[in-house]
Amino acid sequence: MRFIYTKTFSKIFAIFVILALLVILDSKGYLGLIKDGFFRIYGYGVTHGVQATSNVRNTFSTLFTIKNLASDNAQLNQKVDELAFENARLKSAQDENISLRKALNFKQQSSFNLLPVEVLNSDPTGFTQTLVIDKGSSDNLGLNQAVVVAPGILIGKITKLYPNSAQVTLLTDPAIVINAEVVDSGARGLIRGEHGLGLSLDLVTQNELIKTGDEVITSGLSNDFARGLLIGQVAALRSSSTELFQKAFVSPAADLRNLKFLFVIQ
Amino acid sequence: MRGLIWFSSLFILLIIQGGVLVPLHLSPVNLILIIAVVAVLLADFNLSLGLTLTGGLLLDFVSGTPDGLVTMSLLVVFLLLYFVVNSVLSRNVTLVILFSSVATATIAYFILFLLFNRLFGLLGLHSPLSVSFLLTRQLPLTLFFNLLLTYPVLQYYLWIQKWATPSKLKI
Repeated sequence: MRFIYTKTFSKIFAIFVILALLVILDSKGYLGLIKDGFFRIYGYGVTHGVQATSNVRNTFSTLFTIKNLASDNAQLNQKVDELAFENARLKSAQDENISLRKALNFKQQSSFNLLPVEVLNSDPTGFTQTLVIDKGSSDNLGLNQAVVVAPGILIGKITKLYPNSAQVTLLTDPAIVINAEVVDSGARGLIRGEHGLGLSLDLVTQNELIKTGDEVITSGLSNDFARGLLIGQVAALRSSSTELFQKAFVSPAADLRNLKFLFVIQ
Repeated sequence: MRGLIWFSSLFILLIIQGGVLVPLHLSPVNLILIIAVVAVLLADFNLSLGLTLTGGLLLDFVSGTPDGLVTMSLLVVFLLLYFVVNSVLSRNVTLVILFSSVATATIAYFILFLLFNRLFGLLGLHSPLSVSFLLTRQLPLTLFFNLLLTYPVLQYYLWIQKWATPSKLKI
């Protein structure tokens, strides 16, 4: 008997037809409610799994790190003092900025309208850098809205919407391209995700001066993101005089591996 | 009842993958692929097909890729492996056969995933993926962790099989 007349072939053929149907239904967004329910159940299991794993890992890591606690504490205290000084200086600058803007009749910078969300699960396959949050279109979320960790550190944007959940694509995913600006020099370029490896700042003209440690923020040139959201810091430069543009590696400001509570900018 | 036990076992495996192995940085790994390979070698056609299909759909739901992409890749890997196992290899499964099957299936899965992603691209559904990143960094790591976890998954499969197989009453 030829293979195409066998029961096995019919079974496989039927499965591929059903899969094709699934692809169409998913692309049209008809699976939203089913996925919502699945994300809740799976997210519940994953959250508890992560908590249990973290507890065990923290217990063991404490044993190994206990000898370094004194020096770490001293370093952190020094960092707190530095940041307190920096904070006071920035507050003073902000006050000055507000009064100057008022004097010049500039439009006041609006504060963000933040909606708190919780992470249900992240992509365990490793093919994409995405995660699922617990609010969706019924909470007035929209596609391409920026997702941040407080205070204003960008981690990604909403790329898929379901009624009660949404998919967030992280900055490190190659699907994400953001107009960015280096704070000190004002150099502008494009931030691209390089999977889990970090970010690259590309298309910066050769006459711009960028150095390691410079902070990179959203430039606000595209409509997707407001200006001033912190993306990360320049970690390394990769440019040669023969190339038309400079390229730099940027390490994200947020720890993208341990995300739990986030905010969506509406 | 048997189907429910197998479904639950796959779901638990997925939670272990996302909730235990990822936080421990034992990733990227694909436990569903491993159990599908184990099923091809140890179970009948219907059960292994069912496990592959259900596991693929579960992975599709939790991954950020378009639905159907993972399932189709897994199904083609399953079919290739099934026909190779039945026509070339002997049915006496050894650990060497199991480990080499997992390694082959992992490589084939990556290649098929990229091919199907291109195919989905024709429908405007593809995910932007870096082929060089996936083949030079992701694939070796997945291969390593898959092989590392093959034996535990085999034991898990055998344990579930005991639960799912109805015991024969002896009179």
